[in-house]
Amino acid sequence: MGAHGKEIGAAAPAAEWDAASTPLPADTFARRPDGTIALLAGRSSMGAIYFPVPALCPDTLQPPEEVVPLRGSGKLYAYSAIHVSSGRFKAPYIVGYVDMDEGVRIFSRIPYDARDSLHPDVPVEICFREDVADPGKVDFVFKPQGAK
Amino acid sequence: MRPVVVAGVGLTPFGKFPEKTLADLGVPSVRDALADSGIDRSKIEAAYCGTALGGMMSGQRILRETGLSGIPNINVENACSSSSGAFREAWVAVASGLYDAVLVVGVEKLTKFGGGALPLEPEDWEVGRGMIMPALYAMRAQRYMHEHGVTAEQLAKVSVKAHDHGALNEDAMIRRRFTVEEVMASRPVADPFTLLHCCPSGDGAAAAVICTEAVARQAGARTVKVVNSHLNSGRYLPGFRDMTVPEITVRGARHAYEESGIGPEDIDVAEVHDAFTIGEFLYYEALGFCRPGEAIRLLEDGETSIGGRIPVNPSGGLLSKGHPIGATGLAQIVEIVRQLRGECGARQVEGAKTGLAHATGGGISGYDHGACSIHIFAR
Repeated sequence: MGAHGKEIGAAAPAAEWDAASTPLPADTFARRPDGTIALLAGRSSMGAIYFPVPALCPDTLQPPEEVVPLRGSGKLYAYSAIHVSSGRFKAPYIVGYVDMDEGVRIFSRIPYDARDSLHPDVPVEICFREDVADPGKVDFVFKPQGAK
Repeated sequence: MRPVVVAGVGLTPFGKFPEKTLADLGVPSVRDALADSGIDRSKIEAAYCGTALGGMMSGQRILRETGLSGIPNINVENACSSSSGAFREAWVAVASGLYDAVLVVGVEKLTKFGGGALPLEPEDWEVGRGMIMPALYAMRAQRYMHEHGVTAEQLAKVSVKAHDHGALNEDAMIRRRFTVEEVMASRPVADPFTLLHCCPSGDGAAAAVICTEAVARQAGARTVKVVNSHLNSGRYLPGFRDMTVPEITVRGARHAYEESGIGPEDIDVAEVHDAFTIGEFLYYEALGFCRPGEAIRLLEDGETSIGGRIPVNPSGGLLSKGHPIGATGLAQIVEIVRQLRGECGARQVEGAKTGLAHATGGGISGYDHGACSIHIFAR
């Protein structure tokens, strides 16, 4: 993990890559020594936390003082199942905002088959996806904690 | 700053006109606004054109067809607040003494995109991961419903009211009434929204001539005063933010009321940004028409219907009148001006003396909204 901080959090299983996956920019995640992945947030010297890691923190106009690997768990603030296709996002699909334990809100997709387990404030966790053909390509979704 | 008045307004009816050019849409509204004002074209010193997706030189394409080419033109892009933002710039120019009379036009042609959700900026983090505007408002709605115990059927009543009003407006894109059951039975878009919880996108234009009191008096115009013009941008909040409280509108309303000395209790009629049904609930509360959580009572008691205490969106709003985004903000202003002049026929808010127009928009990561304009007018 190198400069990206200490190893934390549980291993997240890699799930299947799909057409709607959006490859994460290389500076938004890091691999732990065991091969699992963590999203990275940036913390300014004033204590504000940003995701993705900004080149300059808006509150200080300086690079982040610390890059924080996120544990990957949080609470679902709100979500919506979308029934109209938009570009490469084929309906139906679900999106949501998750309030991460570290204090930052992250938007992403949620697998459609999880829809019956979703409601505001339900605990969720990050599930990473890797492109089997190109392990450098990584994406993530949120799933209810404990969901398979 | 010196007093500024609206001397004339015009509006090209909203609808789907794929065969028309942007100028075809804009020209009739400009012609009507000029005629309405009685001000000779030679007196118009500058133009301000609001459009979000009209493309380069949108204003110049309209000026070419209206005999106004050659004057300074400023094209303004601010998403759904584009033409209300243009109006703000025009107001600043006249109020500051730079010009005595200017033209404002708002125009949009969304049929060129062929339908579907509004195209957003793909480099944005959320847009690149599947965000569309209906989903953003749907999540606001879901959280509001969760916190205040409101149902999707109760939200649907906003759509019913909007279409009741729009049925009275010959410029509206949709002119038929719907029941709650019909709203809920329309096809799903983004849960909890069905199609009739969402505004129709389309084409259209609006225009206004604004000027000093002296210029208007000389032309014999029927004027409406611009009491306050407020514009702000979203505040970046990367952490947790309350999506049931639209901070940009709350902040804008507070400033507009403080600057004008007018409070929400003084507003007789309002046009607010009901791009989706939840919008009216959020903005009733943000604009101070009721307290947080009480929007449903305001609606169900009929207070925001024509004939109620504070009629909201007598034009039919975005839900019925339509939402050609760059034209919307100025079209709201056109409606308020006509209401204050008593020209709205079957949808007239009787005795309206003070009106408010509110346009907000722009889906960007970390913001409630990108831009918000609030204008207060009085006769």
